Amino acid sequence: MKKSILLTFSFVFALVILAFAQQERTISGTVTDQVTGEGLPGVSIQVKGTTMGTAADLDGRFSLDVPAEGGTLIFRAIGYKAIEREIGSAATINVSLAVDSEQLQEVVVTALGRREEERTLGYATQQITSESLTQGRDRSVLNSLQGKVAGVNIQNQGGGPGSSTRVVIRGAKSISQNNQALFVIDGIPVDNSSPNSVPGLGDNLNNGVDAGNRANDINPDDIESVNILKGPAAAALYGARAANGVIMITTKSGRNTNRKAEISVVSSYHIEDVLRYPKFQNEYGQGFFGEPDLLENTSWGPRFNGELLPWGQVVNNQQKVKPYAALPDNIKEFFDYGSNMTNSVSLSGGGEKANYYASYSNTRQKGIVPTTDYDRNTLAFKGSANLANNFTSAVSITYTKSGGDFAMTGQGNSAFNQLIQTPRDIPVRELEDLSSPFNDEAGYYSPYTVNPYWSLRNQTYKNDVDRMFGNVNFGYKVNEHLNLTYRIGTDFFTDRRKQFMAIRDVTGQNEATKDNGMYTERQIYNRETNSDFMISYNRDLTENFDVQLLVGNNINQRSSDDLFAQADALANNEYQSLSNIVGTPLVTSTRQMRRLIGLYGSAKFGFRNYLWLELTGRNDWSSTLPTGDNSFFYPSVNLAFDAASALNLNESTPINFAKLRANYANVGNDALPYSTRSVFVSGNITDGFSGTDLNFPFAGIPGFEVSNIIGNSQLKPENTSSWEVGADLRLFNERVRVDAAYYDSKSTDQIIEVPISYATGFGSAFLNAATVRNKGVELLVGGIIIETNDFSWDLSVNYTKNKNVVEDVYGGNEISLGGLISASLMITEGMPYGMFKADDIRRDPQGRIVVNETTGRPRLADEPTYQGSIQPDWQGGLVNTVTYKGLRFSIVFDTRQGGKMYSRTRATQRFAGTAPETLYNDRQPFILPNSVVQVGTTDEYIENTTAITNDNLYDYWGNLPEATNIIDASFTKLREVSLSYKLPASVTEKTFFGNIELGVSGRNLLLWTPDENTYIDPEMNSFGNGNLQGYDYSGTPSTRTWGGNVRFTF
Amino acid sequence: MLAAAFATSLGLTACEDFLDINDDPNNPPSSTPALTLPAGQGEVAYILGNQFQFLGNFFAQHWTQSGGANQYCDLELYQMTSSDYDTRVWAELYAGALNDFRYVADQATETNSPNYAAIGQIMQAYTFQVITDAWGDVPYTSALEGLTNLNPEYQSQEEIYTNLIVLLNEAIAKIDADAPVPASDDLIFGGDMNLWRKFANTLKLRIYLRQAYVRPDVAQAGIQEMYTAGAEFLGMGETADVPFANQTQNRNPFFQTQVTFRGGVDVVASNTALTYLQTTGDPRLDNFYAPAQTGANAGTFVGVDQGTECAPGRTGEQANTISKPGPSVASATTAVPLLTAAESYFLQAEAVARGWTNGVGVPSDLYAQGIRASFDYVGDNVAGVDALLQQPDVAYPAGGTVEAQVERIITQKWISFNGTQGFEAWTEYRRTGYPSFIELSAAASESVIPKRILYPNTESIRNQNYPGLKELSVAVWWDVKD
Repeated sequence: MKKSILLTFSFVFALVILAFAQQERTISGTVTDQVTGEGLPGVSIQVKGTTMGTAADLDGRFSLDVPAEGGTLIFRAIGYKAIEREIGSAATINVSLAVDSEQLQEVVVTALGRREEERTLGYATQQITSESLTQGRDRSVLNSLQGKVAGVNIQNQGGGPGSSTRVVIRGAKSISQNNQALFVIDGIPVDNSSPNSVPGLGDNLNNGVDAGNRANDINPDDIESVNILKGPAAAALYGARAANGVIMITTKSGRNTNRKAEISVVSSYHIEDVLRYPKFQNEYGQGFFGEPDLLENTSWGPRFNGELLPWGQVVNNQQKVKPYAALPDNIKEFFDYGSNMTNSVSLSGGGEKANYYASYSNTRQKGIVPTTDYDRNTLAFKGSANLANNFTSAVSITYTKSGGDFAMTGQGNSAFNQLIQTPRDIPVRELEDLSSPFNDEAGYYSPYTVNPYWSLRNQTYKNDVDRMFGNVNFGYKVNEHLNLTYRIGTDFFTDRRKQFMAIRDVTGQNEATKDNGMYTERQIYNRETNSDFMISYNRDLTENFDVQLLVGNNINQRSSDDLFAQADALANNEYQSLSNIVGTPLVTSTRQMRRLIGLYGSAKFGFRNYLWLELTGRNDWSSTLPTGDNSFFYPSVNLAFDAASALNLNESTPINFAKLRANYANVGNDALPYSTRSVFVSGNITDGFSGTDLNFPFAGIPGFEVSNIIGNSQLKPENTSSWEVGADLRLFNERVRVDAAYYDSKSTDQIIEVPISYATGFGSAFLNAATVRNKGVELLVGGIIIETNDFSWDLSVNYTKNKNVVEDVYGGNEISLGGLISASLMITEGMPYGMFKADDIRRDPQGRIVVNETTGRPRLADEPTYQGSIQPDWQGGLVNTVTYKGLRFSIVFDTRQGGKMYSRTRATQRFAGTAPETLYNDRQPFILPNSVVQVGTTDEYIENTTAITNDNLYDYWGNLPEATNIIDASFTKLREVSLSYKLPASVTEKTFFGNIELGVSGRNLLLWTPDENTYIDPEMNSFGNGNLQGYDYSGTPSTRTWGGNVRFTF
Repeated sequence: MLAAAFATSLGLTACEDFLDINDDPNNPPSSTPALTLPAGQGEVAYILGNQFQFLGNFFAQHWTQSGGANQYCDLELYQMTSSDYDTRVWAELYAGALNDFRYVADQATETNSPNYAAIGQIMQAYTFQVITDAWGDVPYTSALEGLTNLNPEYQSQEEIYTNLIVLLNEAIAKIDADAPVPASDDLIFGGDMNLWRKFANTLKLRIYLRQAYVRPDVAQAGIQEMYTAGAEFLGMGETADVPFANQTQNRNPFFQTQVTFRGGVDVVASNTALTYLQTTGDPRLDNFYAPAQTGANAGTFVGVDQGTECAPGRTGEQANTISKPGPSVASATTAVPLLTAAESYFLQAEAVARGWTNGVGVPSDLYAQGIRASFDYVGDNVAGVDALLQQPDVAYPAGGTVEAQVERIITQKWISFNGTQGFEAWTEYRRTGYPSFIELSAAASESVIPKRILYPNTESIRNQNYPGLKELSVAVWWDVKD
C-alpha cells in the first residue's frame, strides 16, 4: 500500500518540474467582462502554439513571458467566448470577453466539486437550473426534480407534511445497502438518511411514521444548480457510495452581484388537498351478515333505505338519529386543506477579493390530516476570499432547524386506517368534537376502531431536528499549473423524537380499545465528516495536448448514536415525559461508526480541444471489511469526442454540436458495520404486539442469546462494473437536441444478510451473495421550437427504460426485502429487483378457481406465487416551457408505466365492504364464477355448486388472499404547472426594486391510473424511502398543491 | 494544510489502527452457558405461555372468543395461515431456544461442565418435542447447523421421537453430582440436578406415551425399561415452570398480551370446560376462571359456547359480562409450566393403566395424586380432592377397560392444563380424542379441529427441502386414534 502511494506522488512531482520554460520578454494586461467591465479572474492566457501561458489573477490582471518575436495570445475562460490577439510589439494587451451563452450552460460541476466543460466529459450528466428547480415551489429539492431528469426515479412517499422522497438513478443495484444517489453539497457529501420510525414498537406495519429524509433540510432557494452525475463513471472519485450516482448541489454565492449588495426575497403560499380518494360503494351501510349492527366498523349491513334510525351508543339514555343513507363524501370531509408557506430572504454581495451569500428561509407546512404540520428554518452562509500569497479560502455553513407533528400510518390506530373502514353512513365530521359523550373513548360508536380524531389528538409523534453542515476550503496556488486544495466538511444532526399515546381507560362497550398508554423518546445523533486533500496540475503540454492531473486523499467517518427510551404504561395523561410511567422504562442505545480512507487520482488528457480521455483510480481502505483484507481498488476510464469541433460540422451541416461519449467504470463498496463477526444479543422475545415482549434481564437475571445473524469474517467488497455509451447532438442552432445513453451495469458480490431457514438455528447470514444487473436507455429529446426576440417555446421529452434483473442469489435462494409475510417483496434469481410474492387463490390445471366445498370460498394455493415486480417498464417526462417577454409558462408531465404495488386500501375496503366491487351480484348469494371443487386429494375437479351466502360474503371479500390486492402501479401525472411574470425593467427602474417576479404554480394536479386502481396514488409508499417500495399500507394520501409566489430583489 | 498533512500521514502509517473499529459496541462477542441458558428457557416459556397458550386453550376449549372483540376468531374458524406461527414462533423455537440450548450444551461440553451440558440437551429434547408435536415432520438431525446446511432436511416424526429418547438418555448420563451446577440462571430448577433427572425421565414418559397408539410396542418396551431401571419422576411440588415477574416486559406473556395490551376483552371461559368444572363441582373453578364483572350475571361464573361469538348469530356480549381466565392463570406473575407434577402423575397413571410398568404402581392412586398435584399447583386446598373423587364423572373406573381408564385420566389431565398448558391439552386431545365431549367450534370452517399447524411461510421460501403444504386437517404421525 505505501509503495503505490509513493509512486503516485513521485509521478506528480515529476510533472511539476516540467512547468519551467524559456523566457524572452514580459507583457501584461487586464481581462474584463465585456458587459460589466469588471476584471475576470482565472482566465487562461496562452501563447498559441507554445506551452507558454498563465492565468489572470483575481482582478483579471496578468503578466506573461512571451517569445521576443511575438505571436498570438489565446484568452479562454469557462463561460466566455475565447478570443485571440496578436502580440506584435505591444507591452500591454487588454481584452474584454463576451459571455458565451451556449457554453455557459455547459459548465457543470463534477465529482469533488470541479467545474468542467460539459463537452469534455465522457459520461452522462444532466443539469437543472435554479429556475426550473424552484418554479413549482415545492419545499423539497428532490420533488422539484420529478419529471425533469432522464434515468432518475424520484418518488415522494406520501402526503404527510415533511414526508420523505426516494431518488434512485439508473435502477436499484444494492439489495441490503442504500440505493439512493449520494448527496453532495458544494463538493462535500452530506447525509440523506431517513431514520425509521420508533424501534421496539413493532414496525411500520403497526404505527409507522414518515418523518422525512434529511435532504429535506435543504432550502431549494439556496441552490444555484443541481447536476446529476448518473453513472458510476461520473462519480467514481467519490468512491464506494458513487455507484448509485450523485446529486451535486451547488449553492448560490455572491459571485455575480457586481460588487453591490443584493437582497432577494421569495414568498410563496400553496394550498394542498388529497390527490386521490378511494372510490366507495354507496348502497349498503353499517352492519354485518347483512343485518344492522350499530357497533360495526364495516358496511356489510342492509341496503340503504333512508329511514330515520338511531346510530351509535346509548349515552345517558340518549341516542343520536340519522337517516340510514349513504354519505358519499364522509371520508373526504375528514381531510383539511393543507398549506405550505415559504419565505426566503437572501443577501449577497461580492468584491474583487471576497464575496458572500447569506440566506434565511422559513417553510411552514400544514398537513391535510388535521393536527399535522412541518416547520423548517434554514440559515445559510457562504463566503470566499482570495488572499494574498496565492491563498484562497472559502467557508460555507448551513443550519437547519426542522420538525413536525406527524400522523401515524399503518394497521394500528392510524387515522387513515380507521377512516377507510368507516361505514358509508357514518358522518365522520360529526365525530370531531371529542368533548361530546358520543365521541369520547367510551361513547364512540364502535369497539373495533378508535375515533380517528381521538387518535390524532392523543397519539402524537413529533420531532425536532437541528442540523448543521458546512465546509472550509483552503487553496494554494503553487504556480499557474499546480494547485493544492484542502477541504474539510462535516454534517451532523440531532433528531429528537417524542411519541405519546394517551391512556384509554375505557369500560363498557369499547373496552377492547383500552390502552395503558405509552411514551417514547428517541434521540438520534448522526455525523459525517470528510477530509479531502487534493493536488491538481493542469497544463497544455503542446499545442495539441493538454493534461489535467489530480491526486487526492479522502478520509471519511460516519457515526451515529441512537438512544431510545420508552415508558410502556403511563401514570396519567397530564404530561408527556419519561417520568410519567408505571413500572420501569425500557432503554436501549445503539452506536455505530465506520471509517474509510481513500486515495484517488485522475488524469484527463485533451487532444486538440475535441478529444478527451480521462482515467481515474481509487483505492479504499474500509473499517467495515475484515481487518487485514479491507483494501480495494477500482478504476474508470471515459472518453469524450466533440465531433462537431473535430470535423467542423457546424460549418458544413446543420449540426452545431455533436459529442460522443463512452466509459467504463468499476466501483467497489464496503459492508455494513459490524457484519464481520457473530455476536450475542440480550434476550428479547416478542409476539408483535407492542410492549408484550419478554425482555432480558428477566427478573434481574441477564440472558444473552446467540444472535440470529451469522457474521462473516471472509467478506469481500462489493463491486459494480458498468459501461456506457452516449451521444449529445444539437442541430439547427439548438432547435433540436438529442441526448441518448445506453448503459449496462452489473453489481456483484453484494453483501447481504441472506435470510436462511430458521431451522438452521439462525435467521440470516452476511454473505457475498448476489448479482444485480441494470441495463437501460436514457433519451432526452427536445428543442427550441420557436424562438423570436420576445417569444420562445422549448419542449423536451425524457424517456427512461431500465431493465433490471437479479442474476444470481446465493444458493438459488430468495431474499425478502420485507413487506408483509403474506405479500412480501423478494429478490429472486432470474427476476427483476423487488418481486411481489404473495398468497394466492388456488387454481386447477385449467386455471379455474378451486373452492372449499363447504363454504364455496376460494382455497389458498399451496405456496405463495410471484405477482410481478415494482419495477416500471419505462418512465418518461415532458417539460414544456414557453416564454414571452417577461412571462414564463412551464408545464411538466411525468409518467411511469408498468410495475406493481400492494394496496392495503383495497384489502381494507374489501374487508369493510366499502369497495364498489363488493356490490357484486347485488350482494345476493352467488356461486363464484369459473370455480371448481377438488375431489378429495385427487386430480379430479368438479363444478362448484356451493354458493357464497349472505352470511359469508364478508368472509369471502375479507379473506381474499393478498395476491388479489396487488395492482398495476402505472400512472401519469400532471406534475407541475407554473406561470411567472417578471416585471419589465422599465417598471422596476422606477422603484427601488431590482427585479419583481410574480408567479402561480401547481404540483401533482392531475393523476391518471389504470382502471383497476381506484384506491391510491401509486407513488406513495408507507414503508419509508428505503429499498422496500410499493406498499400502500394505510399511509397519508398524497396531495396536489397550488398557489402563488412573489420574488423580488433590491 | 497541517490537518491535510496529518490526514495523509494517518492514511499512510496508522491506517490499520484507524480502521480497526469494527467490533460491535452494542452487543457482546461472547457468552457463557450461564448467560445463555436463561435466554433459552425464557424463549420456550414465552411461546408456551403466549402463542401456544392461546392456540391450545382455544382448541382444547378452555377458552373462547368473547363477543366484544374478534382478535382470535381465526382460532375459532380454524383458519390459521402459514404466517401465523412463523417468524415469532417457529423462528423463536429453532433460532432462539434450540440454538441457545445447543450453544449451552456445546460450550459446556467444551469447558467440561457436564451439568450445563445435560440441561442444554434436556431442554433441546423438550423443545424439539413441542416443535414436532405442532408441525409433524420437521428438521431434526440436519437442523441447527448454520451455514453448514442451509436447507435442513425434514425428518419423519417417527425418527425424531426415536432420537429424542437417545438424546435424553445421553443427557441423563451426563448429570454429575460432583460437578458445578447452575444457580439462579437456571430459571426452572435453580440448578437442582436431581430434579433435572426427574424432569428428563418424566419427559421420556411423555414421549413414549405419545406413541401409545401408533407404536405401542416401542412405548411399552421403553416404559418398562425405565421402570426396570427404577426411574424417578417429578413429584408433588416439583413442577418444572418458569416464573414471571411484575416488571416491564418481564410479565407473564398471556397477561401482557391479553390482559394488559388487549384490555382483557377477547378471551373468556368456554362452556366446554366451565360446564365440566361446574358439573363435577370442582373447586378449581375459581382458580381457572374469574366471575363475570358486570351485567346480569355479575359475580357468577358464566361461559360462552365455543366459537359462537365468531359465527352468525353472535351476541356481541362484552368480555366483562362473562368469566375470564382466573387468578391462577392470568396474573402478571403466573408461571409458565413446562411439565407439572400433576402431568407427571397422570402420565404414570396411564402407563400403569396400560400395564406397561412391570406391575409397579396403582393407577387410581396415581390418578388421585395427579388431581392433588393440580390442586396444589393452583393453590387450592388438597383436602378437597377426596370429595371431587366421589363425583361420578371423576371417580376412577378401577375395573373399567384400559381405554375407559385412559379416558378418565386424560380428561382430568385436560382440566389440570386449563389456562396454563393449553398446547399439551390440545396435543393430548389429538392423541387420545379425550375429553370426548369436545365438539367443533360453532364457527368452524373445517370439519375437524386442527391436527397440526401449517408449515411456516419462511420455510417455503428459504428451505429447498420444504415438503409442501400439509393442511390443518392432516394428522401428525402419532395421531392415529379416531
